[in-house]
Amino acid sequence: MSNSSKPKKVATEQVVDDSPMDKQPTTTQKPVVKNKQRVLLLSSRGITYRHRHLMQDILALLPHAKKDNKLDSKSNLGLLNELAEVYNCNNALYFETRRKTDLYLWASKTPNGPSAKFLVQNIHTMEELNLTGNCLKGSRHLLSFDRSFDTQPHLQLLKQLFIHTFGVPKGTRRSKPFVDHILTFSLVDNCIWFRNFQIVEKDPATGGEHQKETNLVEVGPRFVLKPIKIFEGSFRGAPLYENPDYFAEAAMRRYERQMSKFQRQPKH
Amino acid sequence: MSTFVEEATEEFTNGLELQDDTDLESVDSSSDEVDAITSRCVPKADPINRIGALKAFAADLELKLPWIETMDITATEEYEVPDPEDELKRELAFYTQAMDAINVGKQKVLDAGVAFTRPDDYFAEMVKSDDHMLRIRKKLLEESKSIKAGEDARRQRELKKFGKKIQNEKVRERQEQKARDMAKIKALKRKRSGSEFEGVDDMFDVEVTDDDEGDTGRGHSSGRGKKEQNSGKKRSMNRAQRDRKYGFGGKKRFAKSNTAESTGDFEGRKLKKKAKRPGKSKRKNMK
Repeated sequence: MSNSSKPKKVATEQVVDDSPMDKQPTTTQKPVVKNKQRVLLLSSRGITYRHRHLMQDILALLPHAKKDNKLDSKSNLGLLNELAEVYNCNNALYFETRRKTDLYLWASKTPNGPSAKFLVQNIHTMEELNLTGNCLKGSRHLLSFDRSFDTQPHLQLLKQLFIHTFGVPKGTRRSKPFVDHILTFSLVDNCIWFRNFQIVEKDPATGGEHQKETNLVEVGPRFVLKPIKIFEGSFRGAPLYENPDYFAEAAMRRYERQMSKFQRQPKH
Repeated sequence: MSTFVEEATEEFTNGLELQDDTDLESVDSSSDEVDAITSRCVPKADPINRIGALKAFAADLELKLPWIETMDITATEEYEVPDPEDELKRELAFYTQAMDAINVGKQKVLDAGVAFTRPDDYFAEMVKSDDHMLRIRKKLLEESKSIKAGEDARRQRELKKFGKKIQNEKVRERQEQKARDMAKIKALKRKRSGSEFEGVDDMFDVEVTDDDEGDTGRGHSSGRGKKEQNSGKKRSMNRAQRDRKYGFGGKKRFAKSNTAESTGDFEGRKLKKKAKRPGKSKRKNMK
């Protein structure tokens, strides 16, 4: 019977969710199995209003997220692991802004990894999208993944990361009952496209409780994640994957600028 | 990408062939520069992709918990988006993906004994505030209104085109009528001028009015007042229409004086751009 007390103790620790310690007793007894995820959500300094609004939109969707102040340090991201520990979080979403134009998103499993870095493109916040959908603040959502998330190894890993960070665990303190929206992650053009739909169920005109018509209305926000690198550790460690199609945004801009200069020159 | 660069450099060097020899040196250096630029933007030959490690980490992260704890669904079907720029098809793919996921997920949620559908009388804080939703509704209404207004305007334009035709027809008809009347009067006059002994005025009056009985008002010209004459005639426009056409009311003063907008408006006129100040070294050389 000593086993039964052990998992309970682990569950109260909050940070540990799926450690081997937790799993052993599952075979012998019915333990307290619980998905304990908490996400630290924060940005770097120099974030623009649009990026901030996107962050707030995501925060509104994730009742298990804890928002923290802007991170001052740009070089020492290892600080994030300590911060996450302070807030009892075992995941982190870090919005890093560079040059006040480019937004990068780190999704990490603190403190031991793995972690992934994305470039965030095509940002449309809820505020600027005139979408008619709406959903409960903090209700749990379904997570829908594209088929390619099962076929490509790096996407398999990213899928797990997204389940940990974007999935709202059952029984989260501030979550509300009912499932009234769905988040979709789809791979198009080697980028991950994020959408949020409200699930609208309406009785058809004949009106039967069982025969409900399901519709989807988009809520927002919209953004596209371009994977850059996946690391072994959390904000550190050896790279596991590297996107061959990714070039630094600033380098691309400089390239375009310089090439346009060369093209212009012969004309006069 | 590389072909584009080659083209660019080719064009560049071709353009410079016409110039002095002294410039040729700069060609070499800049083509080197082009190489340097492009080298930064060429895909890496062997990008890191440790498949084994990736799979191991993914397996390690996987939560071995009942499905209801995570509620994730991976599609079994392929939703092809041939062109990511084609918004309609792309969004449709996302929509169908979500729809299929719901079809699977709803049953799973219900099986786990968790409520799925939010009842209509359940009120709680929403992601978007009422204020925000009101703003959206207003925006949508405005949009539909402007679309409707555009349609109305188009219909009005077409009607106007058609109306013009009707107007022309009417004018022509009136002229024809007038010509017919004139011809009739002339014929009558000729007839009267033949007979000498009749009281010309009386008879003339009676005969003509007899002829044009349908035409109200026109025959009784001589002794009547102007006011009555107008009242008998049917107006083509009423007061409101005339006011709209010829203008009525409103302020007439200051109509031609400047306003804040007109002062800032330079339509047609070009403002001279201030010449950029050359760099310091250039200024030095100019002296």
